[in-house]
Amino acid sequence: MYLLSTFFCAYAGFAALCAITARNMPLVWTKPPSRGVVAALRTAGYLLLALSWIPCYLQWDVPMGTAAWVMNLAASGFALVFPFAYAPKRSVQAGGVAALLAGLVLLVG
Amino acid sequence: MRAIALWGSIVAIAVRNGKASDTSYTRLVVSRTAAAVLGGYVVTYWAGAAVAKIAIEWGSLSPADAGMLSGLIQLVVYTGAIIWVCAAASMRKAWLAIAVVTALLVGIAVLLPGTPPAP
Amino acid sequence: MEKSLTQRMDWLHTWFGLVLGWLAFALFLTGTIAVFWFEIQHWAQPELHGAKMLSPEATLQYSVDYLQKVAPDSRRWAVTLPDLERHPLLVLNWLDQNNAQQFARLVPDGSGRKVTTVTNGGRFFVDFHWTFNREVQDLSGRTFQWTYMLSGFVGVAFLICTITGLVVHKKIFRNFFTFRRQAKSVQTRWLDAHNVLGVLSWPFQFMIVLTGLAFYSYLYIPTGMQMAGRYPSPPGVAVVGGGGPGMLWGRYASDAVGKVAGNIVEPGNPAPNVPIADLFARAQAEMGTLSSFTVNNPGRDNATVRFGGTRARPDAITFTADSMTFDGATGRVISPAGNTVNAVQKITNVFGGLHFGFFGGTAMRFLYFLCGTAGTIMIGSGLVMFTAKRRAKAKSAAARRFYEFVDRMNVTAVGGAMFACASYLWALRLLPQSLSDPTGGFSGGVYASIRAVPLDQAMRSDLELYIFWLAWGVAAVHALVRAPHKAWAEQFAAVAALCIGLPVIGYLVPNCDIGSMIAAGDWKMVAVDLGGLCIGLMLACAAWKMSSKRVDVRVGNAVRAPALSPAE
Repeated sequence: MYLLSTFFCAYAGFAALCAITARNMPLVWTKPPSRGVVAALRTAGYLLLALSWIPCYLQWDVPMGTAAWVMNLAASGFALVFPFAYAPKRSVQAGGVAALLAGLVLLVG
Repeated sequence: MRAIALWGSIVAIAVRNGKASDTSYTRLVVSRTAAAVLGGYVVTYWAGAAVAKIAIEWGSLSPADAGMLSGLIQLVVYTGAIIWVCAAASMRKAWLAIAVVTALLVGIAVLLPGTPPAP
Repeated sequence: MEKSLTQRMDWLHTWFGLVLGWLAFALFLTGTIAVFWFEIQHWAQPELHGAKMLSPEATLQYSVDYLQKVAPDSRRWAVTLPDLERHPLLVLNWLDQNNAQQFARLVPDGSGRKVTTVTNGGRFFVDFHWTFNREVQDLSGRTFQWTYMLSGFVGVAFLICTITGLVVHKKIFRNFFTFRRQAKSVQTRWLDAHNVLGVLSWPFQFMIVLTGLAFYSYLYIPTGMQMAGRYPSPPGVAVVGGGGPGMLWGRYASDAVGKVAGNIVEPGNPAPNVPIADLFARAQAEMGTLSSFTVNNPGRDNATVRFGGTRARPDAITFTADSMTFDGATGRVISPAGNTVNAVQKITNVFGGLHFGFFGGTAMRFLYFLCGTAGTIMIGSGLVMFTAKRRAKAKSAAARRFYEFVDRMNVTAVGGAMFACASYLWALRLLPQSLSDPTGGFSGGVYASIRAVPLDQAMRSDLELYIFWLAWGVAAVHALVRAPHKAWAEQFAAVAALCIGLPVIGYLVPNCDIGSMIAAGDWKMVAVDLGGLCIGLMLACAAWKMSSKRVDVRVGNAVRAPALSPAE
């Protein structure tokens, strides 16, 4: 179950970073976001990616958890990038939901 | 004997490639591939023996350890050799480097003091 | 000579990627399937399906009772305990009164039912991707094995491609999330797919190829080992090449009949022995899950009992070589638990552990499988991209013929490998059990190796390999005669059909149908069937998408019309 939390957390992180990529801005935002929002999303993105290590550590230990975290980054990345090509706005918005789900799963599990 | 012949041919190719009129793309591809794959193989071949010998004589590793370590280093050597050869801006430099490095490694493997005792 | 370093690295990435990518696809495919090789091994042995397993302690007692009944005066008993989580099979070996080896492969549910199926099973996928089914006899480095060197070279090429791929990917962070699926140029779409798959899973790909090459690296060009072999080795050190066959198995030879090794001591006088179950409990407390035990001279005063830990514990990455020996008569510890590996072997144990991924349980295995699939598709997309990019720009007839050839090779490499694997799984299920090797072992050696025997003498394990290679041959011929764009769709459709059919053919063999297995709670077996079904459905979607448009023709104005092959 912890792995699910990791997955959602990393997905949210990637979604945040994806939304502020220069190339993707016109696809995601209806009007360009302010610099504060961009900075906040960048911080949130990296933070969420880093935080997603914690459920991996809880499920296993440091070495195995780290291995799982790295592989999970790939998994979450794929889960974002491929649907993003079909529905950019929704897949990024799903990042917000994912962040909440990550916390929920961690609390419940 | 075969090794020396191979080494000699590498030096010959190095010298030949120095000609300024080497413009054929095919020749470049053949030369580059041969240098990377075959030349790299020769370097790796002798790197194994040299590393094992150094590890046992100077590093005082056990033979099993030395053998395995040489394997790991051979991996890095072959990968690095292929990448380096293909990154080289001139084939002449690449072939010369292969020849020189091989000679060095052969020297270490064959001539380093402390030959193993007779079986 | 290309002007810039990036261009030269691009040349290297493209050409090594293309030529060795054909083999690399098969390696990656079989390696990814091999993540679940224990489960496939279980899937291939119908006698084990749905059996209610005993606990480890009960299994131990059952083995001891069985051996006590069958061979009470034996010089040696050697038992491989079942891996209850992934592939439960109990193998008992002993020496009979003539010191000849006897064995029994049993279902570990206490019923005494024998497992007569001798199959390559899931182990084939592991062995194929480093031996190409040629015998690997000598693991001490005295000989050069060309198939092993080939798989090593493919690995080196893949390693080079991971490194050069990073070098040539100029806007790697700017294009981190880019997948322009509606780009006008087909090449851009495939390039983006290739990049996304490769970059996101780059740490995994780099790790998997490096670890795969590293732990037997001394055998590819074994000059180091040969030089080391000329020196006398100090006493008590690990045997050269002692990584050996045992390395490959999460547990000792879980299926093959074990060779009861030499050094048999003369039996002493009969004497009561400490119950082995007690020693088992003590050893388990020290070492965790145990995988085997060996008793020398049971029931004598010089009896010894040696317990082996699992080669790969599920709770640690590193491979171990733990064992513990007790005096059978008194229960005293003769040799305590604790790793006895030397320094460099510790490094290779970590590499081995990382590569095989025996640790971490099912969740970890799914991650490995996912990243492995990403790598496999990445290689495939790279191969397709090569033709997509260059075919429309081909200027001369010779160039066009070359790209046509490459396209057909791509179909053979990608479609053929998948078709062969799927056919092999069908062979596993449908070949008669009665063709199994009666000696219970593998005549070709420890690894799945193909040997040439007349068909009437071929055993099940031989036929399984023949079918694999034959299927690949059929796919190759198909790729040769059909137009590439049709061949792609047809081969994918064929593989999809085979995969979707996996649960269905289970109904043709006793004790293999998915319905009763779900009822019996044998999820290991069901997972393989359902996994195959899911993969088949995905491949069917892919085949459908492929059939409605040509994969490799550039949309828009072509420089010249693509060459039509005679088959169109």
